[in-house]
Amino acid sequence: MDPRNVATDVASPSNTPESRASRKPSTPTRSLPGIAYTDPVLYEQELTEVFERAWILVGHVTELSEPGDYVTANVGREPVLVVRGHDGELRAMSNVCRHRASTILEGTGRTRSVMRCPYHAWTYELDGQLAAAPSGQGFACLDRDRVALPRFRVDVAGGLVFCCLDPDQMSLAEMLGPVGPYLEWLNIAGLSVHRPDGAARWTEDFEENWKVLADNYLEDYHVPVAHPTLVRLVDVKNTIGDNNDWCEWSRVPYRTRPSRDPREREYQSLIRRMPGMPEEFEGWMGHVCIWPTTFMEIYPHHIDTWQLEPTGLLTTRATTMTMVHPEEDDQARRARELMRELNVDIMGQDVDITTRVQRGVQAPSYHSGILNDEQEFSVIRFQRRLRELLPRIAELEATATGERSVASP
Amino acid sequence: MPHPDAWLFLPPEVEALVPALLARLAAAGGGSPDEVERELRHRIETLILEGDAERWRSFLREATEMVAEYAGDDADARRVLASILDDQFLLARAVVDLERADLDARQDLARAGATPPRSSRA
Repeated sequence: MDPRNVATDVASPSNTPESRASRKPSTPTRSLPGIAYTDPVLYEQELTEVFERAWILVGHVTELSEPGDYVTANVGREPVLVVRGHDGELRAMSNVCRHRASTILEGTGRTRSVMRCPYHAWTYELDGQLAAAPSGQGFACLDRDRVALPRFRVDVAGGLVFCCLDPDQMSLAEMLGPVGPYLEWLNIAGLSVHRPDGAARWTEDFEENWKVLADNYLEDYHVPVAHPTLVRLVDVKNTIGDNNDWCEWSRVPYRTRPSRDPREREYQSLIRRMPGMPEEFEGWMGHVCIWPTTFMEIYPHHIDTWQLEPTGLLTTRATTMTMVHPEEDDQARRARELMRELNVDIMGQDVDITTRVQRGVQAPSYHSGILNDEQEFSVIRFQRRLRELLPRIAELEATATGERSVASP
Repeated sequence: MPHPDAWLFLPPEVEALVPALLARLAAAGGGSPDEVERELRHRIETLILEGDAERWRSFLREATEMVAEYAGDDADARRVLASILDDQFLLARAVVDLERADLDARQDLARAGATPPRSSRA
């Protein structure tokens, strides 16, 4: 990619304070009906039509540099693995053994020259072909040439590796739109995955429908109400960004005046750009939202990805991956640790909110709300995509409207 | 690194079938089938109880030699043995990297009638 084009793309944000102020449609935009957060039929559609058709983040290129290096993830209901082959190719395939359906690899790491299922030791080549099965003489008819792990699409953007189960889905670059050049611009490929205690990911389980958490991440309308730390650290009103129908990036300037809070003040004193990060990012914090539920926090000192995975109708797992400069110095490490501490508080505030929302959307008296076109426009766009992909939402909205008209003629 | 005991998924089929099959080959050379079978069963059990992946691989190479050198008429026993042993080499890659001698052994097994999947042919 021509870096001059990247700079031009990033320097021409479509989302600015001025453009937001002019975003005043004549008809109010309503949120999804409350029942959309508890409906089991819709949940099944979401798995098949959203998660199993989207490009899902699975890892960072530095985790897949050598033959046998692998990462694993769930794409909807499908456990997948991405592995670097002996020929240097990256391949995505099902992580489910064709014998009795155990997952084969877990987490991230490097396998030997083959992948062995831990249940009965069915053994696969790195291209997914079955190499051998123990007690092979005991199978009446096992044609190993016809047994292979189903393959999926894999692609890389800005150093991040994505997998897609849908052969007809648009390309990763098309789906990312302006986010692709933005990731390149940030030089994410030059970072490495932080592994505290050897683990490349950490997970947290929530007892809410995944959309409650996604909606919350997508808007900053609640920030001044719920997150005093963020209000003191960044100047939300001067956010800039760009988006297409699926993905968006934004960045918000740090405030330059010191906070009254000692921990926040210490953090402010440590903010400094990592080597390789563009000069224009000096003094900014960034966010990236990649359809459907990959979110990124772009700090000058490190980058976190936060990915939501529905694990049930009312349960969601969030997986975090942290990327740091390969030669992170003490100042950057301290800034990262402090931000982590601050984020624990911020996350606690979000958990409090989303718990309340999950209770609220189940209330018989609640149908749907009106969204703020200026500060909830990402939620509006996100829910518009859901409405387009999921016919069940229209059915639920019709039901909710009918109930409302009966209740209040 | 795999757990030191990770290789123990390998022996069951060999322990169950190979002693009798090798004994059939030995019979063609005038050996005592019962004695060969008894000795092999004892040896495999000893490997299971006291051995490791490397010693198992040495045993596989030895057994391969016996298959490769066999010049009798029991083609069925030879072919089945070759397939079992070749599978062992393919499976063993989950715990050890194959060496030149192992690849040579696989070629001998292919000549003896082993039928590995296309993707794994030596």
